[in-house]
Amino acid sequence: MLSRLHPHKPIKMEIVALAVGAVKNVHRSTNREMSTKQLQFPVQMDVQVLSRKFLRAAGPPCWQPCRLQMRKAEDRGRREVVESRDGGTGGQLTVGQRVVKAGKDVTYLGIVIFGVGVMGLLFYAIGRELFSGGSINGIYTDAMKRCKENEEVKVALGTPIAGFGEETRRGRRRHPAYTEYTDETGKKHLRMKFYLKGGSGRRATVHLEVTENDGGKYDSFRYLFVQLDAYPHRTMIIEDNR
Amino acid sequence: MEEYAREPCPYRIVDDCGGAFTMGAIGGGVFQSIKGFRNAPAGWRHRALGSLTAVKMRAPITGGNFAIWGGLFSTFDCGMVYLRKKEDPWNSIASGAVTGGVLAARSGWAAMAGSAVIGGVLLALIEGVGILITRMSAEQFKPISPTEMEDPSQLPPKPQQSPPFGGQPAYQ
Repeated sequence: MLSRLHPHKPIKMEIVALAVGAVKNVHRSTNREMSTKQLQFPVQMDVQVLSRKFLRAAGPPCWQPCRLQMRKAEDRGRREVVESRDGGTGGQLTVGQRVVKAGKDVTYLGIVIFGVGVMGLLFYAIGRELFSGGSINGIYTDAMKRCKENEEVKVALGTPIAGFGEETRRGRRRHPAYTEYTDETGKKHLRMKFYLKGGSGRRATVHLEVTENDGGKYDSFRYLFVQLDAYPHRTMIIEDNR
Repeated sequence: MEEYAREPCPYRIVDDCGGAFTMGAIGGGVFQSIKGFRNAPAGWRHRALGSLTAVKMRAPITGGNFAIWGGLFSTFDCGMVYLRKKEDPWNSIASGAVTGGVLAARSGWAAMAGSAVIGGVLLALIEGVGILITRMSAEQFKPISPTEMEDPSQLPPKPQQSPPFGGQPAYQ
């Protein structure tokens, strides 16, 4: 059986409220909005003892709803019948309401799943890009390391050597330019271009191509060379495995 | 020609600061105009005035907050570029985290860590979008036939023993 005041709560809570309300009724002052703080000391003791006794059977304490129910129980002393707030359906939804609710739930669930999916896709893309060696960023990092370690390049450009990609209109140079293609044997190749700037202020362009291995991952340079941007346009070949 | 080869870095901070202010002021203006309109008393005159007052009072503040974020972010980004000698997505993720942390510095270590994580994740998401866009544009410029892809002329002619394309000898 369900409580009349709160159809979704078991009836135990109402017993507590009734008991507390009864105690309060005995010592009721003229002020109907009297709170527990304003009660005299012995009464407060009574309330506490009584409620503790009942709470042991009823479950966890909840002062806010209990006080609300106290008032309700008081009113009930005057009016025998308390009107149910949901029009007598007892908290049950009609079929139509249930359909509407289910539709809403499904829509919201769909939006949440879509959002989580987009987030997941983005995090997957960035994770693969940053943490895997065969990604664009991985190849760029490897190639730059090779160039920076190369003695000929060090001498030609001067140390320290800084590397960057294509410059965008907003002054960002984070992404190198690249293009992918498939050769006649069906193997994928990737060509990339990025720039170096040495301590002497001289600039150079790095060209490279990587080939995918049998596992479908880019792992070996087909060629990798550095060409000075200024007049002699000297080419320094770091790797050539053609 | 030298103009185009200029290093973007220290000048970019000012650009970013201004861009962020504009973005914040416009976005805040739209937001505040709607909010002021809704919160004003009834009547078109009151609503228009309320909207205008809210925009005048609050939009520059939003713009300023954005400008602080953008300027600090760009400063840290340039610092990372200088220290790491490399420009890649890690720079912006790290500077987003540092910016978040620094701006929350007055609220204690826990708040700093929280803001740093939020800043880093936010910038990682933006970078993710950038990576996807770059990938899409690379897809667009994909060569149709591999025969277009001649080896660069800077390299010496390739040895005849190992022709790369399907065993066809290359005559050069």
